[in-house]
Amino acid sequence: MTKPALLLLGLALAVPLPAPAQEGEPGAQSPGGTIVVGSKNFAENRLLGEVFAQLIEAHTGLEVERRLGLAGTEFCFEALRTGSIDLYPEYTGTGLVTLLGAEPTASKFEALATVRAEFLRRFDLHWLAPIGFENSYELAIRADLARSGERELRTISDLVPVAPTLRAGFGYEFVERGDGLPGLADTYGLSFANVQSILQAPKYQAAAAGAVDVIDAYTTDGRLLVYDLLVLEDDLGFFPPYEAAPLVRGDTLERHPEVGAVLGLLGQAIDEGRMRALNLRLQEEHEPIEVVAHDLLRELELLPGDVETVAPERQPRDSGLAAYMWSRRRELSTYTAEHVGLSAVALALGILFAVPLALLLDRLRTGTSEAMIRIIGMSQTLPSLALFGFLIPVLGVGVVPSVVALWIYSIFPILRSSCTGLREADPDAASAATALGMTEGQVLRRVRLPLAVPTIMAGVRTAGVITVGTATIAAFIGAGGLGQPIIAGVQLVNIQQILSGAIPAALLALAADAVLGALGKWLRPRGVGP
Amino acid sequence: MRLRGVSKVYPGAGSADEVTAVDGADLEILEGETLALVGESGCGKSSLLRLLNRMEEPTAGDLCFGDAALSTFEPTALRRRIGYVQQTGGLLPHWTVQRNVGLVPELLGWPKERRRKRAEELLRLVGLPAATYAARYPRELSGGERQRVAVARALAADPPLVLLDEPFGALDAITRAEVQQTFMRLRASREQTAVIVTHDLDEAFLLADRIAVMRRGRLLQTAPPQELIDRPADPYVGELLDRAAN
Repeated sequence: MTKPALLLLGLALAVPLPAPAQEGEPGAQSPGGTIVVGSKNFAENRLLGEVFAQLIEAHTGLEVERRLGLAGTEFCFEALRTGSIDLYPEYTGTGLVTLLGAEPTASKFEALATVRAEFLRRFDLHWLAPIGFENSYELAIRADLARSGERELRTISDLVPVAPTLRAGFGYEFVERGDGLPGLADTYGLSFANVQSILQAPKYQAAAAGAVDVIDAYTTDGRLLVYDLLVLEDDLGFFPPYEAAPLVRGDTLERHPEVGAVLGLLGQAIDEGRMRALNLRLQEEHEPIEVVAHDLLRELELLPGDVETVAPERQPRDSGLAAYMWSRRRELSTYTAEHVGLSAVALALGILFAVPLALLLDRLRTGTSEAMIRIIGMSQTLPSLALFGFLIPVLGVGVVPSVVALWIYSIFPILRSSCTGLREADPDAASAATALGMTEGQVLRRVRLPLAVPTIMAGVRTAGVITVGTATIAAFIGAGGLGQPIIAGVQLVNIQQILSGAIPAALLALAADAVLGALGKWLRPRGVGP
Repeated sequence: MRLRGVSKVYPGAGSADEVTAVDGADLEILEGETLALVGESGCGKSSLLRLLNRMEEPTAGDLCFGDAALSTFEPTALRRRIGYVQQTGGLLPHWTVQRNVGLVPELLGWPKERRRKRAEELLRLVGLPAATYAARYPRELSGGERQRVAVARALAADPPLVLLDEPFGALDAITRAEVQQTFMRLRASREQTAVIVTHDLDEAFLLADRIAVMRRGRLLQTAPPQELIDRPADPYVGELLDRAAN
């Protein structure tokens, strides 16, 4: 078999093979059914997602697929609305103000009643029984600034006159949301010296380091107990109530009513104090989410006695990175396999798309094809989260939109190099071949394409490294990969967890570079190149 | 091959004026002769050559190959019957010397064994024993060896006509003399019609039976070398010869 034929075969095999977690209508395939549980990308919401998942696993025959850590409220909600996930933990205030765009209300009963009715009517989504705690936004200020000299700040109103001298570090959503900074600023007439957007977890460290003065916090955030921060009272009652509750698709409840019943067990089960303590275990003790979730369900006596449940492996505290990675080897190898699968499929699709496209563009005038390449090149500049923003309403979350996004990023380098390779591959040889009677097709197949292979493969190599490097974004939309521990680690400020994803990801990029380099060498026709 | 009033005009690109590369050329190429097209660079001699194998199409005028109009030949079929050597490169870098020489036979569907034999024979003729050279790749050859291979390739399918576009122009003087000798030896051994484009008048005198002098797209005079010297039809021809003599 010739090398190109072998390569094509390899590509053909690569495409259907890995697809790590096949997507589809949730619950459509396996006989017992599958439930896809999502969560947002901060510790408490992840934990609730994990708690839902373990509870469903313990009490029903359903398979549970976890898509925890989706990048924000909009991502979760779109994923739920389009059926990529079946349920996720949401907060009534967020549902009311962010998702419905309604006016905030001070009554938690009114908030729940409104979101229940409206979500059912508009989206066929059900708010199940609230879990028991409220997790409202709060403003917290460094204690040393709250009490300095004669000044003592206790309420947000007290903050207003001094705010113009203070630096704020707020979460991304908080800065944008109507029930966040914009509304707050309106209500109190608040304005800061400057406002920086920071992920939720590192905000506390930024405040502790004196890099920012005021942050937005959550009521249930365990770190309020640890860091020297003072919560300012919302004396004008601006922040709406945020009761946590499972938000579930109507068709999921229809298919699996037991899901509703099981999640109902959590009704009023967790109060703010308990939630704060749980969050602290995640945020400061860096305990694995599965362990904390399991402990909670045991304490609540929500795990059936007759079902033997195996507690997830506990991580010895303060051990080294190697020990940490060893203890997580099962997850890490799954993430690695997902990562390789996503990258390989996207790259294969990129090659199968970009090389034929280059052949097409090659038939156009140089100016025209250059213009087309430049237009396609703009896809490269699309930020990945923006790209997901476009893809999720159409493709949902998970593997498919991740592969599509990576595929889009892989096209340009391959296209660019293929066009250059075809145009610049020994024009003398091509013209001589034409002058000696080769048809245009023969010149392309026998001369220009083989001679372009080294250049094309250089582009494939670049695309491969980009794809492997970018594949960490897949974790934003629940497709797993090595971005999973990285993003979770950033949210939990767990350096070991970050490194446990970042190191294998970097090694994979190096490996991709080496493998694709070797492949390029193997495919390079003899008599060509160095 | 006969040309009657052949012109080639390249349309101007953008604001550039159109360029008349060949202007009303009348020319007859006799069977078995070697005709040299000489002139300064840009005088249109390469364009004229490329009209002969339909690498370019004339803007005006008629070309005949044998008794038939050139335009009635299918271009790729025509080119397989006309040998072609260009100034540099032209060998396919990813093919061995043997496969390069056998290119036109391969296009014509000759069986493999016949192609191999033919390549061996031609390589011997151009002074490159097949045992040493057949399996090499072009980049493993010197410039002179490459042009020898290119000449062998042009002759592989026994074409009635060979076109050579500055075939030795890129070689150093000593190598050029050697390859020229090889070319002359080949020519002597067969009744090969050849058109060779060169800016080197010495080369034209050495290799050609007749010389056609071109200037600014026009054919000024087509005659055997001695006649050019004795009776230059145009002051430019005399001037060119004087310059070459110095």
